[in-house]
Amino acid sequence: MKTSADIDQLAKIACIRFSEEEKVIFQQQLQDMIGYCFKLDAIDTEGVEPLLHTFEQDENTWGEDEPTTCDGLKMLEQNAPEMRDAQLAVPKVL
Amino acid sequence: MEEETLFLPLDQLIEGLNGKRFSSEELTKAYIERTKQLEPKIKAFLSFDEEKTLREARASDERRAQGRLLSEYDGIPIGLKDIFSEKGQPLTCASKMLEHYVSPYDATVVERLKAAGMVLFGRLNMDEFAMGSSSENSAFQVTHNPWDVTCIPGGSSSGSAAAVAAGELPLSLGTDTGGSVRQPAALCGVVGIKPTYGRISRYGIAAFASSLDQAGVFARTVSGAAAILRLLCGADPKDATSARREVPDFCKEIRNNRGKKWTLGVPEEYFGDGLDPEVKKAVLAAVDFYKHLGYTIKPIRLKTLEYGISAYYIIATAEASSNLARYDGVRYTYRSPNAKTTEEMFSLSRSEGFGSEVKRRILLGLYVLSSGEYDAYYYDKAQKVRRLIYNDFAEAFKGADAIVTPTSPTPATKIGVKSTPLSVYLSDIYTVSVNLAGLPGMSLPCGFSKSNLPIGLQLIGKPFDESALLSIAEAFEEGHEYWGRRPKG
Repeated sequence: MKTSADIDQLAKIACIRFSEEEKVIFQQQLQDMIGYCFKLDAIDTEGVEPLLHTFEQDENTWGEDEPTTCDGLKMLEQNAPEMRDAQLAVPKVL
Repeated sequence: MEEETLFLPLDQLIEGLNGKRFSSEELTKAYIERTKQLEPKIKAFLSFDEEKTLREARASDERRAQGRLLSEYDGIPIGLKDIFSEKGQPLTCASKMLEHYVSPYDATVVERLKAAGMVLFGRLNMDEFAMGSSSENSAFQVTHNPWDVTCIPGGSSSGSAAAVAAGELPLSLGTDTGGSVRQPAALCGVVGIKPTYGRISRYGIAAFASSLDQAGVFARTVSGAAAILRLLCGADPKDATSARREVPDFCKEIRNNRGKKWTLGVPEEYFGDGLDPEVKKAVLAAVDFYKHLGYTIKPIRLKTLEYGISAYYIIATAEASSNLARYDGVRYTYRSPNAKTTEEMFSLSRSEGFGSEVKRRILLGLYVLSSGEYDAYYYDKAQKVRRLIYNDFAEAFKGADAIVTPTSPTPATKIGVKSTPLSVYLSDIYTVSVNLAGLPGMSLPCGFSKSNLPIGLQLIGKPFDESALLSIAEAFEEGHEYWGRRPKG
């Protein structure tokens, strides 16, 4: 995170736009946080298995397939910014 | 209705309803009146459907009249952090992104509260998408601490803690990803418990960091928290990470455990630099109290404390950057009015819809997932450190039933104090490791500072041993009167 190219790249994959002023501020803040978080580098984790999840059930969770009612369209219509002919509408792609 | 009634613990409210001293409608109306009176200065609620709330209270009274109560909590009001889905009600996560979102279904916890006949009372303020510890990251308002309205209430479940402390509500639900139930409980002087990861279904709760998120309860007393916790816990087919474990009757277990002499671990790392002297004094006085009760106090070491913040912020932001990818302007209400192309729909909606802290965490999350010696190197490193933290706690619990620490390094600080994001993250030091290890944790009032701000005692338990935590907490509560204190005005 030494150059502004990094923040531009991150902004791109985050799909978030920043003004030039914001970039300067965010870059500094990220630098501080990364500097702190990456202190973990100093810890010896040789042979340590990553703990992805503390939830360790002894078997997988299975369930029977059961038909239920769910008005998916109504649920979408309630919250989608734009719908046309029962479909989600987005700006023209091509 | 007298103000004292609104501050009664849950069991006495139930007695009041059963003894016909007041109806659910009368009780609910009294809370509504108090809320209306206090909200201009507390600002705990983001929205409130008065008609619906009173309708639920009247329905409870009808059930009572017909002798078909749904549970002993039928007719008791409870508030929800604005992160839980309640069908037909707003769910904003205190974000502009979801400002107009209406929940199409009930979260499992909401289903359970409804099945018990409880009155769902308003939507409570929080830090945006549960990222923060003061409510200052809410897109809509800052909640004020009822003990001193110039101070923060803690967060991210800010409104949930402040409303209970102010007597606007007897109970509320929050979520705790890195301390978001325990820290505001400490700063507002109420009881807050986050059970073991997996105890409560996450279905219908907006996701922040899925391997850490867990719902929790705020209450005036330990027994109130225990009662509601039992209602919420249990396996749910809609959440594969909900634990298929028996849920004990926590209240009964507390009664059975009375007089038991527990062993408490006191880790010296939690009492070092950065801990406010008044907090230290109050927490050590609590340890002393337990000693006089005949408990065994055992000094322990939790050497991984200093790694907790780093590992937490790597893991939580990585998971958040993935969870928040769904907010793209297509399905979740907010789309930038300036978007003319698909790319603009994504990027302008996200730029305008998210606040600064959320953007910061998405960037950090994406950075840790894409940098280092190999792909996701730092994420992998943090998960290994997480294992070390887990092992550290497991070792400590070989010789202790619970661990006692401060909940927050300081009492509530002033609203608006300028600090860097990193310094704010560092204040989570005592709580985040508990989430990384998936352990149950709670905070209860253990004193007041000279400026009359509450101080919280944190108890950390073994996985699925909430009963021990609650029993130990109740023993403290029995010997003190902190729970009965009320903020002035």
